[in-house]
Amino acid sequence: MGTHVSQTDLTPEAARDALESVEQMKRAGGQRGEWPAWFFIMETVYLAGVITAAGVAAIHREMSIVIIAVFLCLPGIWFRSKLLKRRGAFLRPNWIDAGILLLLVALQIGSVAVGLWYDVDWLAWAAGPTWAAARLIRIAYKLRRAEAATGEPRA
Amino acid sequence: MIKSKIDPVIHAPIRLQICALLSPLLQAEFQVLRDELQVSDSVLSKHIKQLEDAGYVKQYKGPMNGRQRTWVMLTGKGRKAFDTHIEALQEIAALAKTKPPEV
Repeated sequence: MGTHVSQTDLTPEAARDALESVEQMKRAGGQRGEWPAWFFIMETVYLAGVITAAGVAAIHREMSIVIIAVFLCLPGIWFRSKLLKRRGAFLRPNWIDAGILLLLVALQIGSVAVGLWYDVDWLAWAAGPTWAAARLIRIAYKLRRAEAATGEPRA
Repeated sequence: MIKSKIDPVIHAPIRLQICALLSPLLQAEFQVLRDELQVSDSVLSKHIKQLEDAGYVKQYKGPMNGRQRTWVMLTGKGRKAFDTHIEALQEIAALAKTKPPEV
């Protein structure tokens, strides 16, 4: 099976070489699983638009627009899963990114509740762009970090 | 003490690279692993089988672009073993810094 670990394999130099190759492979894996920035930006704009429309429509009690907006999310989900499979590698879920996505839902539910209570819609109009700005900052941060790690521009 | 933390299954260079490549991922397709590691299908299969026998990776068939493909993922046990192995390697690598130079 070739699993014997000889003493000579365990020199500090050999360990350093092994750690170096591990770092390289981790980076390669991360890059394979990473989604392109254009997809994140498009998804952010799309989701912010759809959710803002749904929130504002809900405040104005235009339920048909709310239903259309919810259905408009479906092609996005379909496209996301298609793209994921095409890349052949999925990154592990990142709790910060998941948290930012949940923030959109929380912001919009909150703004709709406030909007219905006080009969104002400006909060619902602001929620989508606010969230989009937060997510775009996060994308920019991730790109900058990836650039710093690899020394290559990632946009 | 450090040597006991070295995992003989993960220690082989290809298997160490497989685990490293899978570590940031939820799962990866067989061809992705093969391309990144630059090994033949048979060599990769052999090493994945050894990791699977140790319970460190899981394989399953799933569709990709309309075809059934093999997907590989690191199990919780595999992730833990890999982390422990890396810790041991780091300790060994650090020995070089702490050891006084031999005259």
